[in-house]
Amino acid sequence: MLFPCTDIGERPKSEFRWGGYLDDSAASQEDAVCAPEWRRHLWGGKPGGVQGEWWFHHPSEQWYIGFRDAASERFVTLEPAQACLARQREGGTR
Amino acid sequence: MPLQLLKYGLGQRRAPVLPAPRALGSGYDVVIIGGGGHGLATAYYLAKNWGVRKVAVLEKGWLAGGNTARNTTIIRANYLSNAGVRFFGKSVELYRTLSSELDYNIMFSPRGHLTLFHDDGGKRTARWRAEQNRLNGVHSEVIDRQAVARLCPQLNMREDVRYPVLGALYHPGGATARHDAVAWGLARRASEMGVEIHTQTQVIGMDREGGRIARLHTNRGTLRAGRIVQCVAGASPALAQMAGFDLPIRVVPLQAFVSEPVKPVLDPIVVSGNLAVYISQSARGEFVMGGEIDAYPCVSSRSSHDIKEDMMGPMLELFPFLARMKLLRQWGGIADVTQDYSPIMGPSPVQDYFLSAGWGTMGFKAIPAGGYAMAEMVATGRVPDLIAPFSLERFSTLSLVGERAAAAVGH
Ligand SMILES: Cc1cc2nc3c(=O)[nH]c(=O)nc-3n(C[C@H](O)[C@H](O)[C@H](O)COP(=O)(O)OP(=O)(O)OC[C@H]3O[C@@H](n4cnc5c(N)ncnc54)[C@H](O)[C@@H]3O)c2cc1C
Repeated sequence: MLFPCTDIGERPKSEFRWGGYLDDSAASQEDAVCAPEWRRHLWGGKPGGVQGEWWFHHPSEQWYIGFRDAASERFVTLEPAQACLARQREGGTR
Repeated sequence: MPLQLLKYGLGQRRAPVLPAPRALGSGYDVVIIGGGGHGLATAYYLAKNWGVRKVAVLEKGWLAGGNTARNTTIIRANYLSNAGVRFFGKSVELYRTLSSELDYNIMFSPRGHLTLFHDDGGKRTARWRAEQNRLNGVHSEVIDRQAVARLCPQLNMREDVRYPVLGALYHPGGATARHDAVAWGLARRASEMGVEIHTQTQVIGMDREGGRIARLHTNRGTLRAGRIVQCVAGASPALAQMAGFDLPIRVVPLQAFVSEPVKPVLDPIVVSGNLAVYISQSARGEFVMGGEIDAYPCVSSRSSHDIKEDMMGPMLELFPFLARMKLLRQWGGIADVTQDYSPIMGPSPVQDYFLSAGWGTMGFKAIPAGGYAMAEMVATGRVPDLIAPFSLERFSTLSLVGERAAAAVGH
């Protein structure tokens, strides 16, 4: 299976490691971490649908952020984490 | 009973497992969502031990077609935590007599279980497990290379490989059983006692009123339930979301393989933590093989080529003779995995709504004890000591029941 990266094109799945869910919740902001949110961040699962996730690309040692359907495994987007986060900070969505 | 056997053999047709389907009732004392091993065992013990018979099991597909149909049927009690060893020990005990109890041959087959170690870390874990097992009345011992070679002469004992075999944790009580027969036997006896089992019946919505579920909606109509038990494995987070709460469960595929069948050559079940694979030979003669869960979440029960490659390489290191054999089938199940590799059994944030979930990669062996304890809890409203450590609450109080070392590869 090939993963479609926006910058380096299609790469084999074996080059990637899953790095957890991308949390849009307060859990990723340190001062707002309270126990239930922190627990959800650490252990929470998702029932399905399109999820934001971290992916580590071994050959380039780069983190990516992908939005992927948990049933079909198709990516909606898969782009370098820096770019994705910068856009989110500017107030844009995915 | 040779006469009965003869009559059976000459009889025209086998009786169907379940009576013909009937209309869904409007209400039951207990509704069990999910007709896999855990749902069926809960129904069986509710009727048998507690006389609770106005029970419906709702199964969206066919009877026990989920993970109960997809597992590699390993039954063992050599876990690591006190709670785990006691619980799984009880389950193995119930399994031993289940064929005669159900009057249905589940083909329970004790053959011994070897967890190989190939380094000091592995040996330390094996010792730790052996002591924990002994303390809780389960027989396990650490054995050396020579003893391993005697118990399993097919194993590659060469020292010039990546992971030479140094010894093993030996658990004589390790066994296998026929997975479908377990489900069918439980279903048949439960329905004889009055439990209704509705297949092709999917729960698609819930009305929550005043802290409890007032109505369940299915594709075959709406119904009320005094108490609800959720036993849906890979659909656990989705059903919990319907009921209005989150579960600390990730949904990850687990894959397995069988080879073409040959005459019996492999007696024990063999697991290697370092190589992340395990194998046993089924009653049909097929080698049944598997390993760890996939590396990332996915809610599809697909199988994949990369896993085949990852698992078969190490498998050939352990059993080089397998190189001449063909794989017959590969498949996946959707495992409901908790971070401490222990199940979740108990009440939920919704009143009268109980959970049997997080069975992940190890719930087949737990079917009798899980059903036994869940039935007691649902009937009495009290959580039995046997399963108290497995509450959903443990994730809030941080009293996790760590079983990763005993359950990540060997299931
Ligand atoms: C490849 C593989 C190997 C394994 N090997 C072992 C092993 O060697 N030993 C071991 O002990 N365990 C093993 N397991 C784990 C074991 O199979 C499971 O933990 C166990 O079968 C779970 O039983 P269950 O009844 O909870 O789930 P299931 O058997 O999956 O039953 C759940 C049922 O719920 C139904 N359902 C889901 N949603 C709904 C809905 N909305 N409405 C109605 N019904 C619904 C599903 O159709 C399904 O039939 C393995 C699992 C896999 C996938």
